[in-house]
Amino acid sequence: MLSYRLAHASLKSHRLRTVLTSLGVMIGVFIISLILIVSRGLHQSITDQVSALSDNIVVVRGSSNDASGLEAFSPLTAAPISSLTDRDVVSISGLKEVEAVAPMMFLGGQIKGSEGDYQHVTTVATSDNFPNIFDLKLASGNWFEADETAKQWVILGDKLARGLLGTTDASGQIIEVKGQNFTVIGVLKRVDRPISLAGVDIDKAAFISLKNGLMFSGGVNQIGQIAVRAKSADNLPALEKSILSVLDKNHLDHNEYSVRAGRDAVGALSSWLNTITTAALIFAGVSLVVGGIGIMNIMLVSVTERIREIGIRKAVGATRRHILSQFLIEALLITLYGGVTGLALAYGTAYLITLQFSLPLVYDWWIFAVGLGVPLSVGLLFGLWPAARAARQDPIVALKHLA
Amino acid sequence: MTTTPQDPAFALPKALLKDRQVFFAGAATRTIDEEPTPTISLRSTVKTFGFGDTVFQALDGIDLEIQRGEFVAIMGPSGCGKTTLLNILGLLDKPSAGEYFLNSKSVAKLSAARKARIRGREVGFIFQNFNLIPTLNVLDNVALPLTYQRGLKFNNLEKASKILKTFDLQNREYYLPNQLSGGQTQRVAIARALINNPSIILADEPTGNLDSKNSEIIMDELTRLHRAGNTILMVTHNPDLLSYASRVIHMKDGQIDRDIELTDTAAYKATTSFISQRKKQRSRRFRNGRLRRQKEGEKK
Ligand SMILES: Nc1ncnc2c1ncn2[C@@H]1O[C@H](COP(=O)(O)OP(=O)(O)OP(=O)(O)O)[C@@H](O)[C@H]1O
Ligand SMILES: [Mg+2]
Repeated sequence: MLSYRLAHASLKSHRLRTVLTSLGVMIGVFIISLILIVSRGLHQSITDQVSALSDNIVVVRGSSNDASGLEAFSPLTAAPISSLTDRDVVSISGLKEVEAVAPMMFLGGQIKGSEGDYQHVTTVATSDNFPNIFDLKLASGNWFEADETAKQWVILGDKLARGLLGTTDASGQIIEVKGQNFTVIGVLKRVDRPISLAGVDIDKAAFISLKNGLMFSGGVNQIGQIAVRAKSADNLPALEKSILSVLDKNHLDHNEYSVRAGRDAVGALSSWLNTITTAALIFAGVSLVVGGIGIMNIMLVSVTERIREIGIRKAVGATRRHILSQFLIEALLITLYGGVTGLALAYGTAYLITLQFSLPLVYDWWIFAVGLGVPLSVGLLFGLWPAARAARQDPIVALKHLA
Repeated sequence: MTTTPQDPAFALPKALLKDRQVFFAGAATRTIDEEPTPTISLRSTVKTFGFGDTVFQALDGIDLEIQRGEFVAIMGPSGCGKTTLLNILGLLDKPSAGEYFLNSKSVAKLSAARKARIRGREVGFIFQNFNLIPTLNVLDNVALPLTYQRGLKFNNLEKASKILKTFDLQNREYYLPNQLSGGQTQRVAIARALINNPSIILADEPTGNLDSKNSEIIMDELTRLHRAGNTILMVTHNPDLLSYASRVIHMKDGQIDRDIELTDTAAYKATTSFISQRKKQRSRRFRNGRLRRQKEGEKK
């Protein structure tokens, strides 16, 4: 306590120097904490989003199963060449664990409306039970029924409808999809989940029947993926197994497809996030080391500058340990000041970021532990040598040192 | 006779010598034939500075025994090694050769931590150049030795405040050293040296910057501590102050030139005989004043 008082007094008498020295640590802690807070927030929001919908949904993906991480859920990697066929859809819908199945064919292309014209819109050609599988609600109009697939009807995502027609109450309006006139029969409610198991940003997509899709593809059955809803979330692993065994019967090449459930998506996304977070943390760590070297430098200067003081303290009874702890506490205080301000700034900034991107603001205890523990270790590590140098001073030599 | 033949004091006229045994018979109530162990004992102590051609011998074979409770004044020309001697006695410096026994323990064998603790608890050092810490205020400077004591430290600042009052500095507690006059600085340095109730006080010209009134405050405080049984070594150039001492050591070129016990006025007068006439007159005036005060004190 006393050493704290002495150290604090001495830091106060060099206010500017203390502030500048702790600045390096502050920046390091700021970056580290900010990365941790935001990445935790992202992680949590992704987990929430994906698992909200997909507890009992499995997606069967044709073609590349070597895709991992985020790409595995991107329509870009799903669309182009797929080996899934109608036969697979029929086989899977025959499984006892299955409640509903929807084939998904991905088409890109231009869509024109009265208010807008978009070059590359993800258009999903699918079946009547697609909205049931992904729990999609309509803001206006209807989804097509099983016997209405021959009609040139389209259902729009919320954002797409607003962009094309300026309204979500668009039933009956005519738009141009890949050069063909389609009647809008419904607009989906806003989903606000850019990342979903469906592999598309539903708010920005258009949906037509599979029959219409086949018209665009020239009859080539290019089912990119099959969305499967299980009867219950409990037998999801069993369902995955059954699907695989059915597909294994239908296909010669067993590398042509893959099966993914919601939790795989979370795992893939978080591993991707972890990679980015780790990289960022390494950079922040480097900045902390630089800050630590700054502290060491200042502490060494301060030891040299205060040799007489050390001599006086020793003359009135200070042992090496007293001097060591005084200088060490000074170093720790500098880093602690930096750590606290860095952490506070990080939360301030994180608050603004999460507000902007509607992420949750995470208050994990371990973020505080890291935010304060890391600078303290830096202080300990880089303050130790100067402190030891201070403690080693011979009392009379130190006393006679010219101040 | 307890002085050894090597003792420089032995060479002095018998009239100036006083048997230490007698002197101590009163002070130390030990069995009479048991010789008291000296609190400080230096044996042919040498201190050299520098290397090769520039070697300088600041202390040149000092033999010195100081008993507990003595008040020793150390005199001598500038550069004769007085401060060097005090530094060694206060465990700040190590002798280059010779031995130093503190309370009959060889100092050479003590660990650095042990020495630090002795400095903090047993020794009060009043430095010639004060050595206050410029970034700490007066109160913190004075309390500093207490902070390195073991045990609970609640009332450090209270204690410091109290001792500052003795030296008439109560309204300078929150000043920084550079805001003090020379005399005030000196008194702060003295307050710091005395706060631990040290049993050995090493005072390097403690009144060098003080007027006679403040000198008296200091000297009265040292006298009080002396009466309480503490050992005091005081470097001074002021012969007026010799009247407070029980013994005077004269140094010259790193050696003890003369070592004189002072127990009565005769001895005192004999000592001052080698001091210049002008100084002598001044010292008489000072001493008379002091004697008068003493008598007044006795009357009360
Ligand atoms: N660190 C050192 N290196 C070299 N010489 C030194 C050192 N310290 C002291 N000396 C020399 O030792 C001699 C004795 O110094 P000391 O400080 O003991 O003198 P002093 O008797 O206290 O003098 P003063 O009355 O002026 O204070 C001086 O000649 C001085 O130059
Ligand atoms: Mg001196």
